Amino acid sequence: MRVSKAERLEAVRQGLLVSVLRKLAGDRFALLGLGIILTVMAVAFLAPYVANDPVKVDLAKRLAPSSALFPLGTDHLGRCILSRLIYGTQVSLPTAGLTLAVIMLIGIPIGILSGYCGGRVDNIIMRVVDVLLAFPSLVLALVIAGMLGPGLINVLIALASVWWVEYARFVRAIVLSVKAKEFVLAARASGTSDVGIITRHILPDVLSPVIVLATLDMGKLILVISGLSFLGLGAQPPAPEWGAMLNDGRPYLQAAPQLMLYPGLAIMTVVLAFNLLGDGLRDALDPRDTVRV
Amino acid sequence: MSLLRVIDLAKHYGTGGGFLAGGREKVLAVDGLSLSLARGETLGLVGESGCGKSTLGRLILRLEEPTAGKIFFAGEEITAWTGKRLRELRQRVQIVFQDSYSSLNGRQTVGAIIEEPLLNFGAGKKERQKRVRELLATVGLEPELVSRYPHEFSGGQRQRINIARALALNPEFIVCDEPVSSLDVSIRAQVLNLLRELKKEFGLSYLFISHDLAAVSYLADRVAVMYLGKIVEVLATRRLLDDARHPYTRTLLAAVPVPDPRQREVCQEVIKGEPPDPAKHPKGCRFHPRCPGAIEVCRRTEPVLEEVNEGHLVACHLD
Repeated sequence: MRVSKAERLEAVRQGLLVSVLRKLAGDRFALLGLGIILTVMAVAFLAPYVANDPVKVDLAKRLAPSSALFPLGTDHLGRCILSRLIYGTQVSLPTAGLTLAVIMLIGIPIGILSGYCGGRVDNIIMRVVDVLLAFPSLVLALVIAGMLGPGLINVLIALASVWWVEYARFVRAIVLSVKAKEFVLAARASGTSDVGIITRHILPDVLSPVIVLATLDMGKLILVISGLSFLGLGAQPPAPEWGAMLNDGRPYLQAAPQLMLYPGLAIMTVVLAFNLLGDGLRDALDPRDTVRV
Repeated sequence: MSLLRVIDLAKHYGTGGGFLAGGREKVLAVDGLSLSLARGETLGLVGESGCGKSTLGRLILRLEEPTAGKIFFAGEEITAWTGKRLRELRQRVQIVFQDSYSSLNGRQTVGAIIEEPLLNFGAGKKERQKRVRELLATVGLEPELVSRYPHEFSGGQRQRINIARALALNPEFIVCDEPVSSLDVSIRAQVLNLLRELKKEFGLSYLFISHDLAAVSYLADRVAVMYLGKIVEVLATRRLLDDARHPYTRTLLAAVPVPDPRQREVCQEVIKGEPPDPAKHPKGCRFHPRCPGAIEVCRRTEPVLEEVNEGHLVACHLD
């Protein structure tokens, strides 16, 4: 379906936010993603009220199947799996969110600096980015996390130090295209400072594509952080982290598959939700006229 | 005394090739150009696409750094001004761009666009709003349109918004970089008239850049003809038809469409050859490969701009 020009003008007048929300409302998958994310966030906040103690060991009840008291059974130490999953939301989401925030705080300013200044500054920054991009980033993150020692903060540092390049590159490309427009020249001619040009004319064009990228990356980060925890580099026992739970359950895969099944499902669901929302946002923020129906 | 004076101004761009590509090719967009403009005067600058007209405009505005040469404005050399002084200059020299659409930020309202220069120079909110409405009225737009967005306007109206922004700081001098080239013919006259009235009302001086001789001769007191980064002829507009001497100027004049079909034969003297590549300047006179009357000396030495009559400068060996 083509959106008529009049509708598009109307959308601009209403402001970006309203038009994006309206388009999202028509995208069932994006709404599903958003719903799951909001539910998981609510669960994270309500964890103390709905879950049992996630680290209470009861060896007498180890590897128990589902029951009224333990809806998803217990793990090898008799801890309630559902409670651990619920408390796990308090680890995975904030860690991924914080990591993403750090990545954006580093990547976006560097991208803007690189694109806006151009010349030598741009050349130096982009060569550093090239070098970092030439390594497989996960392996590099593994090395850094391994050197720093296990722990979620170290995982954050390791991921941020390789992941910012993606944002720097991405933002730089947008800045380059906006910078060449005549309204930027006109602003400069009317005495607008560099800071004014960046905040008034460049940042608004950078933000919407970055929001899409960030939403998609949120899913990736949750997956990678779980992966690093699975390898023992992230959350340390007895913290209820989904990736670590997978690792805990590994020796019991045949006897008690629920130990790995449920954390795996939890990770998959959340990652899927962020990807669905990201795809929906991409369509909703797409500056082109056409939208899929 | 001249308001603007440009001496041997040059702007060279390196093209293509990273640091591994070895020797770079240079584009000589503006190549040793001199001109002057009196206070209250409109100087028309004509030349074909790619001859460096717009680059010259941007150099004068200090939006680009010249490779060589000097720019004087109101008696002071502004070539190396930075920071606070450059900001001062911004209040006195403004520009109107060719593309009325891309020179307005589509995310800003008309009010915000016109307000921006005022904001930069610390006007209060009340004062700014009042001034924006004033400016809209000055350029012939309804002051009620402040909260509209650029795409809601026609090309001519958008160009009026551009002009209003340029006027916001009460400049003395405005570079009009092909301000009517992207407009419909029917709208052109309106915008040209507006520019003419504004000049009278505010005592402005213009550098009017265009490839359209008709538009230039309507507005300009003098015409400077530019070819491949250099001025080849300068003369008063009213003398243009009779006194133009440079072969390039004459071919430009011959290319202006004549409304009388019976005279079509006359304008067959169309310029030969391709528009030149600004990266490869021919040796000698830069126009000689396309010049109908080129002689031996044109291939060897470059002619200098010399005064042949009062106020009439030509760079050509054939005189």
